[in-house]
Amino acid sequence: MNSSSGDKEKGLTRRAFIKNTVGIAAGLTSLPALAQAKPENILSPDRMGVLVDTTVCIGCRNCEWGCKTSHGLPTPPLETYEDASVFEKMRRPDDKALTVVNSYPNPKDPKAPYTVKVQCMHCDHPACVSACIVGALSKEESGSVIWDTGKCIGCRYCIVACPFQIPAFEYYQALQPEIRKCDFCSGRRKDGKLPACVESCPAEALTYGPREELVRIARNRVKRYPQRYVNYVYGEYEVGGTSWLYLAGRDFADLQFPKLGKNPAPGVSESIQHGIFAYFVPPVALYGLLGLLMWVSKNNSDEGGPK
Amino acid sequence: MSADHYMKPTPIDKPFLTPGVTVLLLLALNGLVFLAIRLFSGIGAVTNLNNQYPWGVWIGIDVASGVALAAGGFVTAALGHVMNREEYHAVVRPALLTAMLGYTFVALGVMIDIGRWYYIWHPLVFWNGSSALFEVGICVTIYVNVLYIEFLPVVTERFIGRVNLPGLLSGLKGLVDRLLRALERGLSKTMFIFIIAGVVLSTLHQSSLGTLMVIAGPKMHPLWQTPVLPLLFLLSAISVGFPMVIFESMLAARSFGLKLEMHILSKLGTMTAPLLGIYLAFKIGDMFIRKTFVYLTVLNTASVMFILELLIGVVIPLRIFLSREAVKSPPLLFVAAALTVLGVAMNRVNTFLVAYTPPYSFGSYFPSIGEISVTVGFICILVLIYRALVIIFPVISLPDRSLSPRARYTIRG
Amino acid sequence: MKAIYALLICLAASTRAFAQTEIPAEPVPSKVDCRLCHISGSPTKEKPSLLQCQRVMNKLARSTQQAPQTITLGTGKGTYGQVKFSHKAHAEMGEMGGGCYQCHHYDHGGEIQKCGNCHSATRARSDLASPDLKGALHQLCVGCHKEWGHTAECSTCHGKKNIPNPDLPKKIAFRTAYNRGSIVTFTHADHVKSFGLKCARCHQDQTCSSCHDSGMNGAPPRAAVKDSDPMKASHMACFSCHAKDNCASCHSGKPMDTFNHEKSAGWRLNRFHNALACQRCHTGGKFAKLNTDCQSCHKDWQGKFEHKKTGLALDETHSGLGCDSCHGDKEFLAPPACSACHDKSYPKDKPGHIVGKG
Repeated sequence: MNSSSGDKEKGLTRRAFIKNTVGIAAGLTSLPALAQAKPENILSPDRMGVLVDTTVCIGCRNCEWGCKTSHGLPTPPLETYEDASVFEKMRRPDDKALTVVNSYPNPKDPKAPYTVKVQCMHCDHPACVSACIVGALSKEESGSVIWDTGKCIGCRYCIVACPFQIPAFEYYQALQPEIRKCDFCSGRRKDGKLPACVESCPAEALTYGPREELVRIARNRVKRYPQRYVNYVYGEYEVGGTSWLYLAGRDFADLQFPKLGKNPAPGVSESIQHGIFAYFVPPVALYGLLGLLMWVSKNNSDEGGPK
Repeated sequence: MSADHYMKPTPIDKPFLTPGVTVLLLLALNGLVFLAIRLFSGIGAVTNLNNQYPWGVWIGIDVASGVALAAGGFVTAALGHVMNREEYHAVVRPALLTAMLGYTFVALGVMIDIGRWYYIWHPLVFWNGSSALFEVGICVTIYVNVLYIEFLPVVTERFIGRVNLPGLLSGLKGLVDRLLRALERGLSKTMFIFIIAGVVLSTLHQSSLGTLMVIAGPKMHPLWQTPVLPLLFLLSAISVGFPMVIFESMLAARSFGLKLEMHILSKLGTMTAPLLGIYLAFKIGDMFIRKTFVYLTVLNTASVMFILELLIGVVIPLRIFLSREAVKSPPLLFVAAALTVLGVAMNRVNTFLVAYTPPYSFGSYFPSIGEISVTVGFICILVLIYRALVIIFPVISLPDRSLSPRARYTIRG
Repeated sequence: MKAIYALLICLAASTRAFAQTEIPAEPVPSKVDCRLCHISGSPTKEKPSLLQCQRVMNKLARSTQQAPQTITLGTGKGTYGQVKFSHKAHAEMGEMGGGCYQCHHYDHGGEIQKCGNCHSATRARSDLASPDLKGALHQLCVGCHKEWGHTAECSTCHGKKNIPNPDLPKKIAFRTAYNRGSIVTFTHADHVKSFGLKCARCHQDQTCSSCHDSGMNGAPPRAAVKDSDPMKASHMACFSCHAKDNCASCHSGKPMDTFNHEKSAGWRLNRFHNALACQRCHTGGKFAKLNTDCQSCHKDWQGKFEHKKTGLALDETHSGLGCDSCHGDKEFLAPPACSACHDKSYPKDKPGHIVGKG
């Protein structure tokens, strides 16, 4: 802009200026109405969960096989899962395996190492759902945190946001790469079936049931067998609670569980977001303020200027 | 008082190709080769990204630093138009062009980094109000368009009365000219809406860019992870606005052999000092309130990078900007501006890459040749387009040489 | 591993279904105190007033002889086949650990309850306090099997895999603190064989892996001399038999050889005698020298012994002879050579026939 356009702006009436400003403000305030409605009651008392008792887990990895089979992921035959050499390296869930089992030494009994199944924790207040730019991730009333391929743009912000580092991305897919993570067998459960891993666990180290009951069961086990368990139910309060809960025989930090606070992971970020955009008042106020400043300074320069 | 008595945006009369430009072209080509591999074989084929480190330099430099360094556009717009300080109008257009190109390449950077680049429009349709990224995405999208609109007067100015259509289309010459004039008139009446919108949108997304990493929680190093991260991002973006203008003006002047407008640049430098000072105060204040200075007592990548970021990027340039004599010295001013730019870029890279430590990792992230090539290639293309546009359009203000042959084609003035 | 059993005991015991619906078929024998489970002295079906199950149950000992030989587990409908569980073998091994209670909880003294009476046959169920049947059985078995097998190989139980018997030590030399002969040699194999000792006689509080650990296959061989347990514990095991022996009969300066009857008693045991437990001959717990005449033990053999069972039917001539006429040196193992009595003309010229007639 040079001064000639400024000269023309000068011709604007104050009235037109206010009219335009108000019009913009009205346009902005109508935006939240378009925002998506949240799914209802994701924290229903009936929401389901799974209690993973790592002291009962025998490391047979049948859950990995069951998961792959039910999700249509390629898998070698079940017999090959008996090979314990996979435990030599720590593994993480990825786009080809939504759940993996890792092994950790058991100081109480070196002959019986602890084996720990890892998958999405299905947070009650999921960071990925809060973070997803297009709302492709959502929490269902049943507890599942699921992903919608129709919306996802592949930005991987969910991976950045996840406190458990769970979502995985198909980095070698040129077209339609997917975010892959445990969906808590949302589809199977709607059909009245158990989650595939729970069904394939021979020792029932995975107990599927209403989350509230699982918390009670977990606490009971800890109370009755204080030597067997550390007195902690992981997931009961972590990042505001998770659908999947864990019991362990040694400190959770030694089993590579991240140490997390009780506040929901998206809490701070969302309160900042909602603070900045509280009914679009702050942006509109800033807009008005700047408009006023511009108008005042323009008038000043008109009056005081040489022209 | 008004600078345009003797300063006037003028297309630069220089050849496009120089040896330096050839080097940039080669680097751009190299970047495009890797870009092609990314498009045909997926992100993993070119980058070192994985499920532990999902974001690399394409986000840290191309997007985060790109947005921050394009802040010159809204800061000078606020100074020149909102506060109506006409003496700075000479730098508004170059800053506007930088912002426009910068944001265009931010959008391109995002596009190549997301797995489904062809779904880049999805955030316009599928909304998630609680997502900071959604906020950034929407604001940047709108802002890019606002920037294009803000640039339109430059285009109309260039072509009104000079429309020259080849062959059969030459009959439409009058029509196009009338359309341009109508557009020019309409724009000049409504431009203030876009200018203010630009400033508001920038304020919003510059801060939300900081909110992005807040959700990573304990995965972020405590030196950077703070609830005031959005404020720090906004303050640093504001304080890097003028240094970026100084930096690119001096580079352009050097490249085109123009005279430096030191009287404007020095004032910009002096104005940067309080902005940079406020940023430093918040940064250090935040560190003391959260008592994160204890992390500086251990020697590791994070502590070294934090110290470097503050020392090189804030403290040293602040000292230079504070000196009345130093801001009048072109080399010192350039150093200060360049260090501020580097500092803010470092801050963005630190926040997005260095501070980000996933709970499980199989080795730390370092960008691959492919990632670096694409990033460098994009920067080169940006510089090349900038060069082409200032040759074609009246962007850079030159002393009004009314006797020069070009002057009579410049209709408006 | 015990913790798993303990867990199972309590989980199962805490199922209300069990206590309220499963009434033992037979009346509860009087030796079980009702107050073990019921808080009130007069429980009713509606108000059983059940005590929260305690971990320590009344330990009714049941003989392993009563235990069923094998039990078939599972439906065989899943990926894996049914399991033929060698119950008796496990019961006998269990005697070295917690006995029946290593696996079974809840013994009313009546009929032993089937696991499936309490543990649900389906995993999708409302009462989640105790594991389902499949889970309970696996928790029970796999804990130990994994401990000594170091894998959770399904085929160990679901296939027909033979689990190798543990490699029993022949002898173990213990180093003790006793200064006049610090080495005590325990002839493990001889004790097991000669005295017919059951494992549980000495081994208590054992886990499966203390004998079965498959990791031992690749492990270095047992040390020639091993440090002994604390004195009291080790002596108690031996004193039940060796109470009257003096110290030197066990303690020595160097490891002793395994017991050799020929060397110690001067009388070599042949194949048959070697297989006998010591008490068969040395009756009354005394190991004094016995008369080596066969008849001193084999008193009533005459008239019962059929020589033809050895492969040679004696003819009239030979049956009239005394045993030592042919079996000199009381060697009955190797058949005597005919030439010991007969000259070289045998068998062409048999004795008792007129030479030259035919």
